[in-house]
Amino acid sequence: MPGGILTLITFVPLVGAIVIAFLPRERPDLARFTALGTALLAWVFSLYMLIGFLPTHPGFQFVEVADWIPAFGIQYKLGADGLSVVLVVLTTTLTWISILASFGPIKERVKEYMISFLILEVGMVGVFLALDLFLFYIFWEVVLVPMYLIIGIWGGPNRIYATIKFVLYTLVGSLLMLVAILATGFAFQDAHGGQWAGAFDFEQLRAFAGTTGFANGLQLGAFLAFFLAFAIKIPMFPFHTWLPDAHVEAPTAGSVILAGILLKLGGYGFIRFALPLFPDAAKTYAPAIIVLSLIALIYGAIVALVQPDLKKLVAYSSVSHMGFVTLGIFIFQQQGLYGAILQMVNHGLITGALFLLVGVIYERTHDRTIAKMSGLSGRTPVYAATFGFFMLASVGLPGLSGFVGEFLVLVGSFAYAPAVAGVATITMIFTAGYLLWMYQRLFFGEMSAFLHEIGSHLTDMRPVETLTLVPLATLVVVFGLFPGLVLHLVDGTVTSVLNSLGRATAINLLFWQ
Amino acid sequence: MSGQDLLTISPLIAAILVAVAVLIVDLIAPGRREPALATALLGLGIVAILTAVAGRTPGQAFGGSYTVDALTTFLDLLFISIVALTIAFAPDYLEPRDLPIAEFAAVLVFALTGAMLIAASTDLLVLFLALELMVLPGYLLAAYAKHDSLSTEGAIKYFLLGSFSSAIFLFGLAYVWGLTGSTRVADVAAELGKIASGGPALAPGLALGLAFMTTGVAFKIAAVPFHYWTPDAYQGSPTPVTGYLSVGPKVGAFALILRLFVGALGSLRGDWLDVVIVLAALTMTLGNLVALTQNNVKRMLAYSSIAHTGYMLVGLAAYAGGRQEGLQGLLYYGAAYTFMNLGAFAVVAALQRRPGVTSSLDTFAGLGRREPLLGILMTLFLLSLTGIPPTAGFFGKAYVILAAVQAGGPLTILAVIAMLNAAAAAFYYLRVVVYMFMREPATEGEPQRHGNLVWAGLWTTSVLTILLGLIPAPLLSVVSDAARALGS
Amino acid sequence: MGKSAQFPLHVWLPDAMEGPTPVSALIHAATMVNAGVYLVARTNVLFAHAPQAMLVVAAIGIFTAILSASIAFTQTDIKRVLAYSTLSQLGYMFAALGVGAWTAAIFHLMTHGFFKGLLFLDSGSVIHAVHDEQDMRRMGGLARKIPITYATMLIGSVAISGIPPLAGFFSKDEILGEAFKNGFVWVWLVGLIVAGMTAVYMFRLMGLTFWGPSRVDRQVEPHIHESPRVMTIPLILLAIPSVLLGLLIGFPPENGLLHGWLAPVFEEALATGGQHEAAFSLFGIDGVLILASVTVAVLGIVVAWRLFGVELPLLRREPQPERVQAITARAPFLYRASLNKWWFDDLYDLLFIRIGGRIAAALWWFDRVIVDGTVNGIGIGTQRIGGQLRQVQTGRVQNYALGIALGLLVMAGSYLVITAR
Repeated sequence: MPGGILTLITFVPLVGAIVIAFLPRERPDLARFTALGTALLAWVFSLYMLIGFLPTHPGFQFVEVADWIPAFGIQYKLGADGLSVVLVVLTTTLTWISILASFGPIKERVKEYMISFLILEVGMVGVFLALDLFLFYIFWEVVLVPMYLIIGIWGGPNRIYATIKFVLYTLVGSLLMLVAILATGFAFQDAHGGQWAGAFDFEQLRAFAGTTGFANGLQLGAFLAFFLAFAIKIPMFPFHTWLPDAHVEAPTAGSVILAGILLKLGGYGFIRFALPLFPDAAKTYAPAIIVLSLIALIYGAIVALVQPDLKKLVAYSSVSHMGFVTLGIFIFQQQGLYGAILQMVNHGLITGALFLLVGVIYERTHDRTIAKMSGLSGRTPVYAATFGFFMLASVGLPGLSGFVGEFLVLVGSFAYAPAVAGVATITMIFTAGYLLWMYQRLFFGEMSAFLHEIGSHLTDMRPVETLTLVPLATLVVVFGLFPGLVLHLVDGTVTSVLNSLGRATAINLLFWQ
Repeated sequence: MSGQDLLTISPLIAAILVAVAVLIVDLIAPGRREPALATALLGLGIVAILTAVAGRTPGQAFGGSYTVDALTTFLDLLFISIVALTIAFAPDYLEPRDLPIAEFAAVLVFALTGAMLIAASTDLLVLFLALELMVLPGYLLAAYAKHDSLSTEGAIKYFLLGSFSSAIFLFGLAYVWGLTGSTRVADVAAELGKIASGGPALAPGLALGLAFMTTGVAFKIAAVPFHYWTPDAYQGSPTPVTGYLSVGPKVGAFALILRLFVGALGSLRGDWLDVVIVLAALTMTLGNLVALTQNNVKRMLAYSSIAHTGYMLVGLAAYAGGRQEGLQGLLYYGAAYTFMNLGAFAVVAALQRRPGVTSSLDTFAGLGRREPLLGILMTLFLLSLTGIPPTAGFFGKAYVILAAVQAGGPLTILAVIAMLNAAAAAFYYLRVVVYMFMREPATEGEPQRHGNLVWAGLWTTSVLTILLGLIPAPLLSVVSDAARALGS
Repeated sequence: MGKSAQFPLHVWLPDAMEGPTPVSALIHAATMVNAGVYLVARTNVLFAHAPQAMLVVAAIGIFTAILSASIAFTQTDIKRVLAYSTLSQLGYMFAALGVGAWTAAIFHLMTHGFFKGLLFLDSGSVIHAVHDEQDMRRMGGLARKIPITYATMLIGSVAISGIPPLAGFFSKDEILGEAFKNGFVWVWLVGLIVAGMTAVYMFRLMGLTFWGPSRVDRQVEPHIHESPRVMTIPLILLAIPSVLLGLLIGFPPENGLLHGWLAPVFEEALATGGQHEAAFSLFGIDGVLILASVTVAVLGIVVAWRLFGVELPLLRREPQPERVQAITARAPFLYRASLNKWWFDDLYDLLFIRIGGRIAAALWWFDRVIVDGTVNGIGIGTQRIGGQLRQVQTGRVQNYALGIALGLLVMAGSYLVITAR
């Protein structure tokens, strides 16, 4: 594997964005296909990385280091372990799908849109690959601006409120995280005789946290700041209210990326940074976070039950589903961690697909009110079947990918405390409830008058739309049947995180593979 | 005055000559802007070169009252950039309003000499003279649109309150002089060092002197609660002047703080630490909160400049808390703030090329569609002012925060307050972006033509805004040299 | 446990069976619902280690059995009767698992699969014959018009009622017998009653559908005809095991082929639970138990015969609707409870749709007004403070000077305090 593959994946989209900036405004198709081509190229590179990745090899691979701000030991350092690889491939996949899905709906300012999307990809991939805390923070913030523009410029009627809320909410968390990052780096420097070298290098910080360990006060404070940043991104109850607004207003592809990748940044942050660097604080706060996760699980599901707007329903379902991720992480069990990672991937695929599907109907009816739709299955059977497939995947039907992640988290939480597993299990009933009910209202029964009025515009899925969903459906089935494909990639990550928490990793999960 | 002295002060003399030259050129070719502008910019280039040359041989002149060190060089070059950029941005605004350009440039260069003198002076009296030399042209500039009542009103307020605060400051200087027996910074520092290291107790008079001086400089940097003059003066002034006022005198006043508080009163920093912390917290919080409610971009930027004063004070507080990095952060922030803030004001000025165009938010509606490049550059400056990476503003903020976190204790809380403030500030900065890109214009205006100088200035500021965020290492070594020059 | 539709999660099954075709109903009856039984049986070791769980399983099973049987009494929809009958039989199986009669549970699962599949297909054939009519009040006297359906359904009914030597007898009796022998006399007793009830409601179904006067719609009546071969052949094929399966794999009792196959599976559970399946003795306790269950079954058939009529040779009797009415009038509460399925549907409607809906709506209100309101409130509050602070900027220079002077005073005061420390 040649060096520089990670830089290539990260910055290929930036090159594409710069190229698009110089394309003529009158020819939007040129911008569209350049963007798609760039995203596909990044995707191919990421697959190349996936092939070259050695799952049995512990630690980070393809590491690239260069001094950036030597005065503070800040480096340009990229590297990938299993978790990074999985999430990077998810990102590159969803990005080209989203760009393809934007071909039809986005007709205004196509150039700017595609540039925003590609820069967004730079930020997302960078977050998953950065091994320097300072660099990580920069990529973290880079994600913010394009998303702000995507919601704010190409969004729905209430887009400005939604996008400003999104940015402010995220900034409050991330700026405090910056304080925590700087404090952590300084604590490292202080403990190394004032030498800044390695002060923001994740591997050195982790080694330090594993041996000497950061002072208790710093851990408690810094963890809290990291937690706030990540909890807002995930989003955890009660920091979730930006999500429904952002989802409802964002264009379809924006919602896909928001749900598919942006929410995963939080979970990734917990697993990569918060737990290994501040293990003692993590243990202190874990019970409270577990309670919040359980609240999010049930609360999100119940509130989803009564949403009149299709997108809001899916948004609240995200709150609920991501509760499994935080629950899985903070029970500090091997299965829980595996489950949380798998759930992140699955939620990205399934909810991404659900948003694409909502986009399909929205494009035809310009409405997402569930009450106005009924009897869709007669006119659009392929759509109904596809929707049904992903709906069942979201419910957690065994055989599809949604099931395995949730099941693993449940097994882990049972080992943590049966009561926790019980509460989480109840959620699955609610989940089935709101999703099946939603599906029944949309697709069964007589066709509503509103849909009759749409008339011949109410067509079944177009080839492009099918094309965006087929890869997702394939992965949902493949990961449902062979979750080991993902799980064995992250063995190293899970082991090292549990080690840093001082937890044994005795349980053999071979039977999943 | 020896030959060495002459070389040491050559940049200062050159600056004065440039100002005179501009006036003479205007006398020869009255009303023509190109010769005057060329003279001014070329002259400033020469001044910059001389500054760099003089900076090669650090030394003192006039018996230690004038010092050239890394700090002087850094600050001087910063001042020269400020003035040059302001001159570049001005014609597009001044010309349509029939305001003379040559005088504008000359007055600015005179102000530059004052600022340069501040940066170099290591004597309390020279310091005061230099301060006055810097701010007096500012009063003139504020009233530059003499037929505009708002401009005149703002200028008068600025002048009255400015004189008031100068008097207070001078009063404080007198106390220090009286109680230490010297006006030389080095002597004062030595005298105070004895007190700090357990000598005689600090006289109440000296405490009063500190209070007067702090109040005086707090006024000049527009720290809360001594900021009242800023919004009125900023809004009334012609936009290029506002841009200059928000940067030049502010950085100049910080230079004064560095020479006075760090150089002379550094050993008493334990005493002024708490005051600076409170000032910093108040300044950024009030600046941001009031900026939230502004519908006029110029006024909003005025309050935002107050908030940025607060962030720079965090760096000063970190120094007082025992961290040299605080000074470096303050200097870095000063440079970053200079370019991003001047850039933002330049866009506002460019938009106001046509007389009668206000600086209200509505002016910005649909700018992203009408003049995309201007919109994108403005977005860049605003993101930098917010502190989003990878921009200069972000790195400046990270730097002062790092210093505060290092100092620890109450400064950690100050760091958190600063970050919460930054998040709140995002609201009003991004609101401009909302207007530019997410709203349709109220009236369909023609895209305007902007002069080459404006574009050159905008490119300079924007490139620097990005570079200082992306590749901070070179400037980092410069500011750490500069901070080291002050001693610790 | 929800999968096997046990109380209190039983509501879905009859609803699911009402709509679809008989074939999918068959699938429900024969395979899907059995998954829960299978799951418990498969995890037998786990359950054997938890006697309380076993007890719960037994109680829920037998309660489901009697509850469902009582509901089946009064239903008029032919498929609904069969659906509740399925529930009732599944209850048996759970009870069997609960009392440790592992093999018997699986045995009953198998026999039930055959005869209940047969009954469902029969019901489908009947419905088809009377032109998609499912209400038994609009049937009657169909025996001669659709003889194959009639004959096979009679076999199925006898089998489910537990008359030897048909399949249902062996498996059901084994469950009851083991319940008794393992010390669960109350399970045995209730099970016995349920066996009687089963016979009654099945022969009520037979009586209403096939015997007595025809109540079919006049326009439909001439067109009644036997189903085509594709439907009748499966019926016959299913009728054969319904008769013979018990003899084939369940005979001799408690020592048949099936017991041999399953013995290793439950070995450990039996060892743990300490309940060795006692040897069968026809002339001992087992004989008595068999006698009891057969008697009860016959009794049930007789009751149905007395009330709803029979048209078999020798036993011809007209239905007695007035006597049925008299009985229902004597126990109005029980009648209504049965008819309304013990109001479970209504209870769930109240619990989940009404109350649950309210809770969900309340939570959403909470989300918008409290959680999001707090967030927005912070934003608006911040702006409002900014607006207040803005008022300080009066524009009067004398106010500003005063402000600066006051600031100076505070500053001087604080410096004096600080330096005095």
